[in-house]
Amino acid sequence: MAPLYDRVLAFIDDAGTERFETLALEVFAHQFAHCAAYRQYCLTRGRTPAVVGEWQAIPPVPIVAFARADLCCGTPVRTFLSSGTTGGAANRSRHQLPDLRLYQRSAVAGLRRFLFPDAPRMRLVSIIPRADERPESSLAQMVAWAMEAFGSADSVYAVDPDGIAFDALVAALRGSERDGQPLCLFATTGALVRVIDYCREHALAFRLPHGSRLMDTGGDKGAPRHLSRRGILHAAWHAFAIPGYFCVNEYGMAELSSQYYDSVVADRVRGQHRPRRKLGPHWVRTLVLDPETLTAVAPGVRGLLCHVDLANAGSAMAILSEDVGSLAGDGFQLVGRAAGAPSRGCSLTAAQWDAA
Amino acid sequence: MSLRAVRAGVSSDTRDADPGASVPAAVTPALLARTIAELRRARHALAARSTDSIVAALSRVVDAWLAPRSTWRTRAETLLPAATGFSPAMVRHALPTMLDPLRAPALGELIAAEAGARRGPELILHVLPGNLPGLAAIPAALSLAIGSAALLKAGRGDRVFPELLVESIAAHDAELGRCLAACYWPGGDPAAEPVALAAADLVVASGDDATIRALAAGARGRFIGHGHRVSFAAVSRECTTGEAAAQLAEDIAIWDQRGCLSPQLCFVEGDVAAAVGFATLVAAALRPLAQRLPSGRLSAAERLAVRRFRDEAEWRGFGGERTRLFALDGEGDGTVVVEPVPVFEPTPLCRSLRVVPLADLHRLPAVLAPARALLEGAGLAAPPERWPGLAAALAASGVHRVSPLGAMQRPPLDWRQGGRPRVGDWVAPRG
Repeated sequence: MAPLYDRVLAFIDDAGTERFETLALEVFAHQFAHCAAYRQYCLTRGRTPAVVGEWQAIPPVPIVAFARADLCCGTPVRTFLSSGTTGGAANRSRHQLPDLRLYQRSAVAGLRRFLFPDAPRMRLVSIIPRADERPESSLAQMVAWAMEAFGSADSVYAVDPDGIAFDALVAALRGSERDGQPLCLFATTGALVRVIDYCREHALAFRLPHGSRLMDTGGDKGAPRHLSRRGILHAAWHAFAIPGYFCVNEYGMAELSSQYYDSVVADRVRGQHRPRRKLGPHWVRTLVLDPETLTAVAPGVRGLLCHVDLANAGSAMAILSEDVGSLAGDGFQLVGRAAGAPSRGCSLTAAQWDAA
Repeated sequence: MSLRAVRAGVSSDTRDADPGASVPAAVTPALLARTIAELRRARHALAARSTDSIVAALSRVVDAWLAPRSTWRTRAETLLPAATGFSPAMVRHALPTMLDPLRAPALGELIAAEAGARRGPELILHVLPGNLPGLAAIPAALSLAIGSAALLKAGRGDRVFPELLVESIAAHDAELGRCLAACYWPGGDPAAEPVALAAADLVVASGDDATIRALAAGARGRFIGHGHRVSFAAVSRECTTGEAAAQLAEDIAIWDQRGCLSPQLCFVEGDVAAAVGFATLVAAALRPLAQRLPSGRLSAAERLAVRRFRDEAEWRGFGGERTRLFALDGEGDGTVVVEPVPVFEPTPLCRSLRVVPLADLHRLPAVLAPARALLEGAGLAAPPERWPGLAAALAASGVHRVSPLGAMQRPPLDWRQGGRPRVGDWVAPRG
């Protein structure tokens, strides 16, 4: 039988090679055997490969585990860090990967399915930095692979050391307007809001060719102001002439090797008219757990998202996030990040301390 | 020594609705303006009354609240659990401690010591903090005792107690009752808040730094702000007993650790093993308290913060640090974490404690130095011969109140919160 990581790679390529649950339980046994911290965690809870018989029962690690322990089955070949806007280096997640192929195969296959199902190659314009400038960023790495796998020769990074290279960005957008070749803009949501504000301040609007699309990710982090999803869709149309069905919000995290995407492009290609929701590929499963009991809730009920990602076979496959969402059909609705403890009473809490 | 930061991520994406909490109705600006005008009118009568007569009337009110089978307390005990989320047993146990300091002769003595013959301004606005029930009692009584009318702005969680308090004072002394009003508006409300801030001659406010800053900016008269503070315990090597642990556990459990005198850390003199030993005792002492004084309702955010605190400690242990976690069943029942190296860092509350070993308690000032501006109370367990030296070191480190364990949550009336006199700042300057 092929080694485990190769079987996961084969499963990413073809869902028919075996059952998700079979692979998940074998990956669980692998991680239990090769990751001491995870083994301790499972033993503390009495949930070992000997007793866990379904993928839903695999103990998920909390996000903080990535900041506090080594969760790598073997020697890491690459380590990605969470963006960790606060709290210093000690609180940034470290996602250590012993085999980069899993992340690459998953990221590229996910992009193909959810962002480029109708376009083998197109002009990519990224205001996300290059991977060689940000080697610790899993997002930058994903964009680099997207450039290789889906970018035409005239794809560009509109980024300079200070941030967004507005001149280069405007030139790329005007170029597509002129030659009629659609483009795909990659941006963090925060940077996208900056671009939207820049366009407004400079009275700029672009009529990008049909088929042009937008991928944004990362929530409000680093945004000059909060802009709702509705506001972003509105601005994408008015600033770029990109319709909502080509605006794809990606939901990923440094700790995951696979990503979720808005369903709009995939639905459109399949000729379906369904509400916008987040979809993941077949090698990922999502549970929505009651924050109180950590048991699965009914579809439509809000809870914490728990991800089981086979592409994390070399690190930690089951992850309990701090993101809130609800199951919606074949995907889920992402509500946002669960809030920290609010202030109640006159005692300072850790959250306020940290913010001070 | 390091100030390690636990990140409790907050995103503007999620409004963490607490389904159990009902949002009280806000006062309209017109009603508020009318109330303020009535308070000012009523206050003229107060100006003619002697301090002794006011204090005597207030003492009767306090006695009525603290009497066995007090109807006031019974009403509060009936309404407060639903209004605040605290357990009925906690309200029954802890509410009397909020009124007890006002018993005669403490009120009269404090006024004599701090105010003397000086009277307060016409109208004081008290912006009460969060939802620790009963916090309105002392500010209301002190205001009236110095001859000021007072507007009590209730916190979101507890509109019940301020209203009951006003009613009880009016029932005993109609003239005093007319000088006091309780109302509610959401903090920062653009309609009501400016009306009150513009009217008050003095604003005394508690809240987080942002709230204090915003209120100070809008106040017409003088402004006194009490920001959020942190309290802690220190246990000498001679006192790491089960009794000390039980007393500390009670200090932690009262009001589910939401008071600014609630200990969030405990420094234990000795090595990590000593800290683990004492942490074991504290965790054991928190267990029966979870039955006797059950935890109140936790919001989803609080539950998440406690879980994060626990996960963090547990995974630091798996990652090779000598961190130890003692977690009771429910998130609100108790969490004790042993920190292997000295830090000064608060917890997510909800009865959660960091236990920190310190080779010698005389090294406390160095550990406390980075947090100096945020310190409030310290509970100390030490033998009599060491007490004066340690208490002096704590005071020099910025601690405003040093008390024995088990008494942290029962400050006397003359406790100088934030290092300020209780009413001395409210009255006109001497001379």
